[in-house]
Amino acid sequence: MADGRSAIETIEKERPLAIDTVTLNIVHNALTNIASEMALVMLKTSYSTIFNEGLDFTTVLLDRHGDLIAEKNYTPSMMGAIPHTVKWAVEEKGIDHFHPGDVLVHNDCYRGGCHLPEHMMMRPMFVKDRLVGFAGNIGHIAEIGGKAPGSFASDATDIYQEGLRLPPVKLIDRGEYVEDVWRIVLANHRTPHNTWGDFHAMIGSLETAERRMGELAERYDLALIERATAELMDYSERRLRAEIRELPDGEYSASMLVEDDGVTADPFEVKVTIVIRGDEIIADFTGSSPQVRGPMNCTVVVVASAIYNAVFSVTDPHSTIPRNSGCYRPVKFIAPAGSVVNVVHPGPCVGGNTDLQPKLIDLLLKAFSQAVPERIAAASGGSSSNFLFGGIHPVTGTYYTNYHFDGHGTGGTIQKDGNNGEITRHSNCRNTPVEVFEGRYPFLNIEYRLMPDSGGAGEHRGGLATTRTLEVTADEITLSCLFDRAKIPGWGLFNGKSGGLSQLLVKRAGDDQFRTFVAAFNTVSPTKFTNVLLKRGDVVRYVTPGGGGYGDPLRRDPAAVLADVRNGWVSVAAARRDYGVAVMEQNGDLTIDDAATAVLRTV
Amino acid sequence: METETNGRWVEIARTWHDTAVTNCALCGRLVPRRIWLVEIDGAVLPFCNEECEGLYRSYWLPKYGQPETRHNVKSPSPGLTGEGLG
Repeated sequence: MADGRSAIETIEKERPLAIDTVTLNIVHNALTNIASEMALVMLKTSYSTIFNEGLDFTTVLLDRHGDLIAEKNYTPSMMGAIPHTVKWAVEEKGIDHFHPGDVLVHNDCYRGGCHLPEHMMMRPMFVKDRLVGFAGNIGHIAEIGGKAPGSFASDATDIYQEGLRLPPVKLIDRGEYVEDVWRIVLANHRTPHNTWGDFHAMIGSLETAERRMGELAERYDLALIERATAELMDYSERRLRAEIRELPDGEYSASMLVEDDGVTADPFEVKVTIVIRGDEIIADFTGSSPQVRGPMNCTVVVVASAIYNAVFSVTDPHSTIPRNSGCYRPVKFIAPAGSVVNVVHPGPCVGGNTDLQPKLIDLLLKAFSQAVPERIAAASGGSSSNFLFGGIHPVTGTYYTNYHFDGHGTGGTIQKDGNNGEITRHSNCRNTPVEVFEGRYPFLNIEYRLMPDSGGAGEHRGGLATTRTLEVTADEITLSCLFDRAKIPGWGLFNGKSGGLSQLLVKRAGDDQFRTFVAAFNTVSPTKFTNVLLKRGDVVRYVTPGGGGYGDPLRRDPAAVLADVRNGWVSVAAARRDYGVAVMEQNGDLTIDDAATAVLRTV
Repeated sequence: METETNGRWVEIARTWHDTAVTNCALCGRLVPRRIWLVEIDGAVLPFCNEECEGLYRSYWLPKYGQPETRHNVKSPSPGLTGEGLG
């Protein structure tokens, strides 16, 4: 600002807070702590590794109008669902539908779900018979039926192949199990024991929220809490509007091709125009491809998540603005129903959440890079590298399934190299440690490491992908995969190079070489397939995609290139080819050939 | 909103066994219960609210053209056809 004050200070001076800052902070922190404790309950009491290791869930508190007032957002991919899904369910069912002790569940993709595995639960919170708000959580249930174990059918052509779809229905009615609904759910999930445990982890989290809210209401007057939450939402809105106002007005467009939808080999296109007008942003996806046959479509809340993720990355990268419904108000979007960014019935969408969403974020950032290049990273690997399997466990004799994902490379930025082996930015999950993985499932980890030369070359290199090699140690394992960026890599920015491609290979028992799944099992896509039957001794090797580079690689510090070569992250050949740095061996060590490097960089 | 609107709020009346949903003609969001119906150039369009209608008139229509071309696909969603509206 011209007078030296920050935009925020100016705003607060022009419009003082109605409640003193200390009280506001206390209420905000108390609500956020409740959401955090809800998350802890889920982490500590769930059965599936996707909850207690992967942290693939989010917990929220909402006011009685359904507006978000606090969250523990482990998984940004759910960010778009949070401000919509509970509110829509309340509007659809009507407020009179809710009673003390109720718990609703729903995963309907056409009513605010992210994709079928992600289940939203909500519970009305009553204090002394008065409805004060809702507690909610969204969690990825690891197995919900459908055509593939793990409920990730890469070749699904409609929603019914992806698993059991639940519109908003009560699981608990006034504190009592709705047994008929539970029976339907448990009969349709392949691992009902896990569903029982994970559902109860979610329910316990909601009960904790209501109990803590009651305790908070004993310490503070309810009217004060309500005024404080309303003020917090207004505060967040003002803060975000101030940040947007600092961006240059204009229209910034970008487009990308996505390589296939899992059913056909044809690419499809996504287009976006970012419109910055004063203190508002419009993200307009008009002109994107019609929804595709396979499961790479997004639901509307998924595209909303991508938009909020990109907007917050640009405007508030350190998350200093309280995340509540207020900070969603300045952001508008246009996601045409029936397009690949807003699937309608009966389109499938399981991969839209995991594998289109990260690329949508990259695409939005690519558009933003025209306005604020210094704030934007090159494209990430952009695939969750979904690896799902199931069968009869050779030790326990019981049916098991697992949903596993691995880290990819993130894009370089103006400040630094991309991160290596990081789970996609929209999921923010943890991957499962090898020890836990092998302890639970009949795969032996032969190799797990960073993939050399997978980071896109750049002044700031793209992050490296990971590679993993697994041997089957059971008689049979049914495998389904949904990887992307096997044909079209993540882009670099400002003369940076593309990241490495993903790859999935198999060496059948008795064979002497790795082959693609197209060659070995006649799949349509090399990285998207369902229900391939592996046998004992088969070995699977996969590589996740790498991040794009930022800036001209010839401007990269030769010492940094040498360090990469010494680490085994960049090969001697790639150092020469991509960075113009000649690395030679001297006295048993690697060093830079200065003369040769000067020639290479001059040419 | 600068343009005079002919919009009206309509309560979506569906039986419990009707599985259709309605999406906003501009933003694409679900409209669960109350819908803002507007006639524009002979087409009746469902919006979330007046704000979406306003953005449609002020941004989308001048940029892309007539309502019949507002999406590049014909949506199979029964909700978009207005089925189930009271």
